[in-house]
Amino acid sequence: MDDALDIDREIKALVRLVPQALFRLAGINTHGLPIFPADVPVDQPQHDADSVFRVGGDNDPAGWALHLEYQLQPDSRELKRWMFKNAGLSLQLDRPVLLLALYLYRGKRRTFPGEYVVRAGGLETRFTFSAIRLWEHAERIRTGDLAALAPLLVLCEDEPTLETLETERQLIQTTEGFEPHERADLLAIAVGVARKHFTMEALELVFREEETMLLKETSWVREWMHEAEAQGAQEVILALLQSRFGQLPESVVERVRSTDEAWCRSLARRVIDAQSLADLGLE
Amino acid sequence: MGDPRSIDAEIKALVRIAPDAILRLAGIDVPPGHVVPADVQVSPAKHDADNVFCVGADADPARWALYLEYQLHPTRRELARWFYKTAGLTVQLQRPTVLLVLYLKRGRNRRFPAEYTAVGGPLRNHFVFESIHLWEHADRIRSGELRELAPLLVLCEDNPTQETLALERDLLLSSTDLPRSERADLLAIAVGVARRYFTQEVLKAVFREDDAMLLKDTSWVQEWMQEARTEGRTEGRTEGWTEGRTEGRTEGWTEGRTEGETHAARLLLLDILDAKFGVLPESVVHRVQEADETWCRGMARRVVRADFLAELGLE
Repeated sequence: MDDALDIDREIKALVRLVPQALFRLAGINTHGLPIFPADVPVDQPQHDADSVFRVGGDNDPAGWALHLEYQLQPDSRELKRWMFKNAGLSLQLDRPVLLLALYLYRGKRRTFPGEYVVRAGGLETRFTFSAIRLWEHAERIRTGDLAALAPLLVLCEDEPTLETLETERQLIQTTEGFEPHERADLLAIAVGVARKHFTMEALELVFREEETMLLKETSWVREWMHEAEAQGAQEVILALLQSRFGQLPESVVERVRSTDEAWCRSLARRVIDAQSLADLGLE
Repeated sequence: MGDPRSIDAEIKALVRIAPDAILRLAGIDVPPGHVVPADVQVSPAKHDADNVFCVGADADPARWALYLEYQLHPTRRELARWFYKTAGLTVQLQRPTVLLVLYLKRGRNRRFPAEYTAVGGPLRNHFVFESIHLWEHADRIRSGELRELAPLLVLCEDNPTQETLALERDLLLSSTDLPRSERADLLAIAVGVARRYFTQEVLKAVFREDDAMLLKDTSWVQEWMQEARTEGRTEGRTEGWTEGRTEGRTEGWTEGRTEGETHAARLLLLDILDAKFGVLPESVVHRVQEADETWCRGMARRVVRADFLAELGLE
């Protein structure tokens, strides 16, 4: 063949013209469902991966990247989005990008997917990736092998106790090799994760006052406080909108959840006079 | 557990602070300093899939989509793009999407990939898809079972001959159960594919004059011409070829192509003049139909500022 591109037009026209022949060629059974063409460009809005790390420099032929997604509870609806982000990163970074799913909490779940499979019409497309169940590595955290992950110990246990928190604290405070600011950051994270399970009183028993003072200085806690403010404001706005307009569409809830405190405040003033969500530019 | 969303910030911060621990957790052994955080935003450029078919209506819970890519020569660097497009379509169409790759020609290639594998440290991702080797189905085409795919028969053979073309033509013309317009379209496609392998003389010997007349009316060729005009493209191969044939000309493909370009340019200019000045006098139409492509382009630029045809020297 002289020009591979040049034949594209004919093949596309042929396939558009006789899709049924193509389906027969591939032995596809549509079970009587109608077929219609949907030649659409793949043009997705931006998505954010949870974390991405490059391994090796730009010119390193052995370079690759780690794409990390973590989940508290396995949600199979996320799988296709993980695949999309992983595939997008592979193009974007122009190097192999490995997806690693980190399942954080066992709970009552039994399956923690390591693949996304589509079977249709007798065909199959399969995407397989690596997955880690954090609780299976709890001992490595407790023994100090993975001391930096101590803030997650509370997730590894079905019924975490104050002793679990104490173990976290000791691992962070006594393990050698951490810089002071790293210890402060890890403590802040430990408190952040633990507050979902314990009362403030319980947290104060374990994480003492000097540590709390230390925590306030960390850049991470400042960031966290901004987030907390935004989250608080979002909750208020959602409540306000619900009481004014009843059940809110999912899109409105998502929109509000992506905003900051200032946005919420400016919207709050307008909710009063608005007759509909559309008046607020939310529909 | 509380709200999963609310733990996100903590986990992200932890991973940022202690990437080495996460790597060790996964059994990845990387020297310190070799790991740097990268941008987490995924926003690749727009990509076009070759063909996509939706099976089942949007509301049907059994709905799915077939995404088709075809390749003359297997190219490994396409694999990551196919992976991306499959994933993108799955999210975009909101239906499970299966990738099927159609390898069109065996040639000297031995490997026709059906998976994309990424390897990093001890980790391995696989993306496994379906593929078809067209040449393995040549007999199904020849026997008529897949006669609609006859235009591709020429690709199934290592050294296609005039007989291959004749068989393609016979398969298509004898398929009287197919609508006439569809047969004509398939014939046009057969000529389009075959012209990569055969001289014009051979094509003329196989696809006769009456076929050419049929071709001129095909929706596919019409669409092709329309596309060339709309997009201002100056390709027009088929136009040139069809005109060349019906007018009994003997110019080669190159001349046919120029002819096609001029034809498209004239039609486009007539469209512009018509839109600007309404119904055009016969003399103007005649003048444009005599013009070459350069003249048409120059005139198109002047039309914008002109209020009357006379300003363009056309009346």
